[in-house]
Amino acid sequence: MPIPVNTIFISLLSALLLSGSLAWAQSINLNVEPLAHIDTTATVIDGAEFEDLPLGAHDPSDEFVLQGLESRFTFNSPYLDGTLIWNFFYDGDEWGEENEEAYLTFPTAPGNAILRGGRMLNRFGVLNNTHLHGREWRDVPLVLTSFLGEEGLTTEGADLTVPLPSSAFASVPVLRDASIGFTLGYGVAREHDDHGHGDEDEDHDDELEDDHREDEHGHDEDEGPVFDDGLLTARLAGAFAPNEFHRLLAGVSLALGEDEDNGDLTVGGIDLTYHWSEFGYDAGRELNWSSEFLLRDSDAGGQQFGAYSRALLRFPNPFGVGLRVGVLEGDHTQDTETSWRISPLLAWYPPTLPNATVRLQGNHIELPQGGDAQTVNLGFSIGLGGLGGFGSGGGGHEGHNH
Amino acid sequence: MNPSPSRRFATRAASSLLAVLFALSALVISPRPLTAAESLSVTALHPIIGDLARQVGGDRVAVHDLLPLGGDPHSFTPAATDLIKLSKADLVLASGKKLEVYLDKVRTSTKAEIIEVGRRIPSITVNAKDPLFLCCPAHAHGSLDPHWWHNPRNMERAARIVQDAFTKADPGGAAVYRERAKAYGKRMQTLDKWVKKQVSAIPRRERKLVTAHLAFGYFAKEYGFQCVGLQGLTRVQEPSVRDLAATVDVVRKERLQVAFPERLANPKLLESLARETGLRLGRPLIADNMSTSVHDYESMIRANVSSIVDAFKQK
Repeated sequence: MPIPVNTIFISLLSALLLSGSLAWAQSINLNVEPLAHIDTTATVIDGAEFEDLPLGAHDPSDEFVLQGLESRFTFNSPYLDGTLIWNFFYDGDEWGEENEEAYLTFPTAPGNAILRGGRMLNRFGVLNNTHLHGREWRDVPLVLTSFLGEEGLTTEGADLTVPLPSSAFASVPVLRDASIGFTLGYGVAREHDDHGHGDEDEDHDDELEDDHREDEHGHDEDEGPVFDDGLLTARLAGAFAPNEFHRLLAGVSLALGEDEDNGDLTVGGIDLTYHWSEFGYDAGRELNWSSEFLLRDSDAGGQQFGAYSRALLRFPNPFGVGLRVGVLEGDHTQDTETSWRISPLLAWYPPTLPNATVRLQGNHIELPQGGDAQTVNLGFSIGLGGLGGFGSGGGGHEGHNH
Repeated sequence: MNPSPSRRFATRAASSLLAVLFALSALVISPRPLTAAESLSVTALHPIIGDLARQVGGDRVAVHDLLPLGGDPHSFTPAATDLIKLSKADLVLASGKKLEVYLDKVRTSTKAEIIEVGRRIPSITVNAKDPLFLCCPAHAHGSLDPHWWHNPRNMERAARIVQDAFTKADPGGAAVYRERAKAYGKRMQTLDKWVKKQVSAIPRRERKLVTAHLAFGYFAKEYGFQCVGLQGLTRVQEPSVRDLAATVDVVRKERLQVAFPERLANPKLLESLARETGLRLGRPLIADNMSTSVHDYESMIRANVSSIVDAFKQK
């Protein structure tokens, strides 16, 4: 059983703080910077109950929820950085808390490589390692919830990101302004019932735990195979930005491991993101379009395909409009049909509150168990402290990598 | 068999009607020439933009240059009389990229639409890690380079931007603006090819441009040069003693041989550098503004390129 990385982190931090050596603390630039972000959502539903919806762990699961109160603590030193993110939430029934991430970063590895160790949102795809506050849509795409788990793919282990030297590809004219990096990671997948609520789940027996999970999350218990225990992940990603008006990101991700029944499980994905800025460095319209295409191959369920695509157009007057569509192939082993969801979005970024966003989102979903449902949710998000929250302010853009 | 009188009348009437309709359609299709009073009144905040406006607008625009030939756009501030003239403009064209630091004052002085022509032109940011800059004053690091006009391909893009602005303000002249912008674009393509041919005489490893200030980044990027600017992006950004020492080091290390003063800049700093390092001084370049002797864009580029190539050819 891995040593809880929080223990390592807190011990290290405590040692540093308790060392009593102010000169040493100053020399390592110990800077504990608290930031917070709040996301709340009110939802109305028609055609089904919340429990019938295929939701992620922090998706709106009741008429009013506090999707997250994410608090972040960081410290920086010349050779070591630390990050701790704790999330508090209210799912309409009771409060909960969880440690989202806790990891150390060694930013000065040879070759400009970055080594991280601890509990981390895995660098799989483009949206998996984006925190709630960095997402424009209030719920996670169907395919990511199904293939990566309700909590997303969080691993406790290590990953190494290495930028490829530009000399390796600069001779190709179209790649002259590109940057390419490779990430390799190994860790243990976070347990899928590890979602801290007010009453700890340690005393629950299996039956109660299943009921508890279904009641608390409102999920269909049969979510298909997800990673359990150790897994290897890899990602090759490139960014191409010939000027300040256009930016293209593309990536290929792979995760290899086992599911809860010790069957082989592989998830692979391709992602594309395009960002357009009308006036470059000056304020103007901005378009962000992103798509991910994933394939899951498991002993339990065979092959299954899913994808989503979303586009958001932001205007200088502080509105944004967007549309997201997602599809998830049915799973014959789970007796589910192909499901899809279409989600229009209207966002308002109040000029007087630069770190806040108000979102009106609609969903029409064809449910995997048959039938359809519609939801409309109204969300309010705000960042507090420091730069207004980790990320790019109250609204941020999806795909922001912390 | 002769046609009946009524048939002859009908034929004549139809012919007359067709002729009238044809004449009327010619008036509608052809752009209606504007009178002087009806010309689109355009104020350009930079003479290079003014020159561009005249090229694209032709007789349909009356262009007034706020900054006179020979003026320094980095330090220019409009006087009260300038602001009064601005208030009468139908359209204001600025270079953009923060060159006109007084733009907010302009906005309060006119109800006309202000088009920052350079806003849609890809930017260069001064970055010491960028191989484009062999050496640059530290305080210019991170700054947006406003001198986008030194690349003729950017002027080709700018012509389309000005065409769109004129068409929006004067839809009746759309065809004229389109044709003139297209013609200007072709001239810029020709100019670009000419520049490439001229600079090909300079070996790539020798293409290092030492100038009074960092005004030639866009030119350098397009034509394969590296920049060494004694001052920053403006002549106001004076180099520190450390910056000067760094420049001397680079000149010696790279064995640079020629430097270029600028027509509107005080040459003393560059002359001092030349004395210390043995640099030859080429003919002054035109960096920020045209002059009474070189008062259009194409002449400016040709003059600069000729000065650069001639200096490098002298060994």
